[in-house]
Amino acid sequence: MKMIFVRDTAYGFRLVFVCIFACALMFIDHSFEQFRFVRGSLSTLVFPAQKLVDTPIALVRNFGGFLATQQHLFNENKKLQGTQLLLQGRLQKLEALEKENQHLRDLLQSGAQVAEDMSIASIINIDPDPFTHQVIINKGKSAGVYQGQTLIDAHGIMGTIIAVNDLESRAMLITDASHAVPVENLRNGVRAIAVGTGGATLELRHVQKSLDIVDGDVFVTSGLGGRFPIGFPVGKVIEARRDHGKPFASITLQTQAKLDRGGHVLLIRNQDYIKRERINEKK
Amino acid sequence: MRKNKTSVVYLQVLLSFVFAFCLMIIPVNPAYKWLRPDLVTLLMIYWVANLPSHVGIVFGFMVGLIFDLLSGMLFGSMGLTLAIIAFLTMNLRLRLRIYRSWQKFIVIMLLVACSQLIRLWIQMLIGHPPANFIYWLSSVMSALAWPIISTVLSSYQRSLRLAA
Repeated sequence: MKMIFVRDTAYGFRLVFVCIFACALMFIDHSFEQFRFVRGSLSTLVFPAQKLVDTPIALVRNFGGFLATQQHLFNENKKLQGTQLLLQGRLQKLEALEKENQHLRDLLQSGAQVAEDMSIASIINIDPDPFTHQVIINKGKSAGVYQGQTLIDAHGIMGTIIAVNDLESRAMLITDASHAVPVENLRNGVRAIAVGTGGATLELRHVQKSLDIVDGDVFVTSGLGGRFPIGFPVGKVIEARRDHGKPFASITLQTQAKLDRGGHVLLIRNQDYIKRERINEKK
Repeated sequence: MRKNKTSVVYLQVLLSFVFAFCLMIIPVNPAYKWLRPDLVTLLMIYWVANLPSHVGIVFGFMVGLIFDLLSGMLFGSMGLTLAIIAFLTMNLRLRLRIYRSWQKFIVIMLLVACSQLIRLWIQMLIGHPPANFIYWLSSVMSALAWPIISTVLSSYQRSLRLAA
């Protein structure tokens, strides 16, 4: 017989059990790096849903290119050729400089700067949880993406890969509140840590008031800690305040990378980092 | 009414959740991201209220875990939230049927706000700063969306002849 007024006393017990289990899961996810692998492989399960949402959006985007007029394409092509020429001109000089730099480093007997190789990936058009700043990228373990890899766009550092599975990977953006990058001032080499605020900006933590940082200074990655490659732009100072009541200066950076615009990203393979991780694994 | 097999019922309910998941991850302008109605919580409330023989605390927990994988939240946070929402709705479900529409509005808003509160606490515990006041607007939007959601879901339920 079907009961309408069911009053099951097991509900409370079940709830307590589930709550304890959920709390344990959250604790494990938060505290253990190793769990990321489990999570990465589990998220293959939800890949179809992501693909389902992404496909029509990508299709519409591509269709726009399909419908573009010849005049438009012609103009765009001309512009791109101009930009390419300009960039190649700069690159010539850069190569000479790189060689010179290497030579000077040899003279100083300091370690050689490793070259990084990059690969292109594109962002899958979905919105994850609004609390966290994350993007999903269409390349995974099978394309050589590894956890801890750095993500950049044409203007600067975008974020770090935090979970990988075979087909795709999840990256945390630098504006996420739990993301930090070691940086240095391009103008005078002052070092700091740039931490995400959870909003659209970054802040420098624990900066002494006497340090020379002014509006408009550009901060690049310092490479300390070995996770991020050296010399990529991170942010530009938009506000440098030194309040009397506070022990440290409060410095706000605007990201150089265009984080809110979807499209293509570059993944940097940091050979040094990979080598060190392998050594750590062997230990 | 024909009685469906239990596994089929679960599959059909799960299908509606998958649809909600897809709607929840469609990209929107970041300025409006907090205005999105919390469809997953709304679906949980609906199914617990209308299909309590199948959908309950453990089901909510499982669905929440899948959503955590999809959205990149702390693994288990949505699971915990949906389990608690399922429990609350179970106690409210008979009253929910006789409420007038404005009373329903308030109850749904409070339930979604409760779901948001749990997630906000979890986020605060792991160090993400709390969002601004706009965060709570989502529960109002959810309550506004409830009549539409419940109409769509009840026609879905009727068309599949899912009965409690």
